[in-house]
Amino acid sequence: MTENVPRLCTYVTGLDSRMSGGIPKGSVVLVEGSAGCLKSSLTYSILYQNALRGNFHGLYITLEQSRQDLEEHMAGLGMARSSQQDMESKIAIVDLGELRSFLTESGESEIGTNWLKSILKQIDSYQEEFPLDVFVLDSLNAMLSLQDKENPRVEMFHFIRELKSHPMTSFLISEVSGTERVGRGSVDFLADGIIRMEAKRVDEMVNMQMGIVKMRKTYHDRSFMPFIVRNGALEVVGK
Amino acid sequence: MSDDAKDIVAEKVRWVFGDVADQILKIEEQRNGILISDNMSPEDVEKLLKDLKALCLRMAGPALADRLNEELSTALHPSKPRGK
Repeated sequence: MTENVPRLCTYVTGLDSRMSGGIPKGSVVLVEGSAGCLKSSLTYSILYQNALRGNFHGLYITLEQSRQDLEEHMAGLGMARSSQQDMESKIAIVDLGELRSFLTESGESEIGTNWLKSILKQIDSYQEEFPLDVFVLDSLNAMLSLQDKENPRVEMFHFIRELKSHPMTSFLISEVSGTERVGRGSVDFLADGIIRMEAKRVDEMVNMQMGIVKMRKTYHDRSFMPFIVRNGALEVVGK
Repeated sequence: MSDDAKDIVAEKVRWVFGDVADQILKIEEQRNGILISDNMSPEDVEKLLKDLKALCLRMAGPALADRLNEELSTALHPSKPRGK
């Protein structure tokens, strides 16, 4: 059943083979973890590594970290868009934080803005220009903090349903602290996949680990896998 | 220039900025003291193009900013063939 599903390779060394070859295309995947667990780096590396390998278009929307910070961070990990031809047209990074600042500085309130709807409109626009393969929202928490507090479950239901109606694979980055999952509504149930990232102290070192908590239509490893970043790519190490 | 210049501009701006396009255009009108319409002077058109390109550059980088600028220039300059 799982072998006929078209899949998006993550190109994280050692990961795809542990989940039937990759993530089912069209899935909505939650990438969760506490601050500093390389959630943005994982999702960006999926964009970057796919873009390196051919005709591919990705959209990365950041709400809090600036586009420049994100690009500098990724360049530091060996994933500079400027180092590769056509990379800027293959990966669009949209900094909604800049837009939020612009609106606020101009005396317009950003609170009344329906950012979920606005993002869906942006996705539609991009899709009209080129087939979008991957969409990343960084982060879900920032987005939800701007939305209607009354009905987060309803809003998330419609948002995820809309994402699923597109052929692209979507990644929603979510910050969690311990087991706390504040204001995420029903996203855990609605998402097709959940990748959990953690920092674990081993002696005097902090090691990064990731685990596939859930991935529909996929046989996957359930162990937490230590990983490193090397030469612009993530790599699962150990068994 | 077309009678529905504002709609055309809004459509192009929405392409990049999503549903906040109308808010952005309202701010641009207030900031520059212009009214986006078919009666805009060439100077006002240039002012609007420059501002929107700068905002897009901050938000989405040069590739999209150049693309938006090209689309808007085509839409707002009557001598150029109109884009889609």
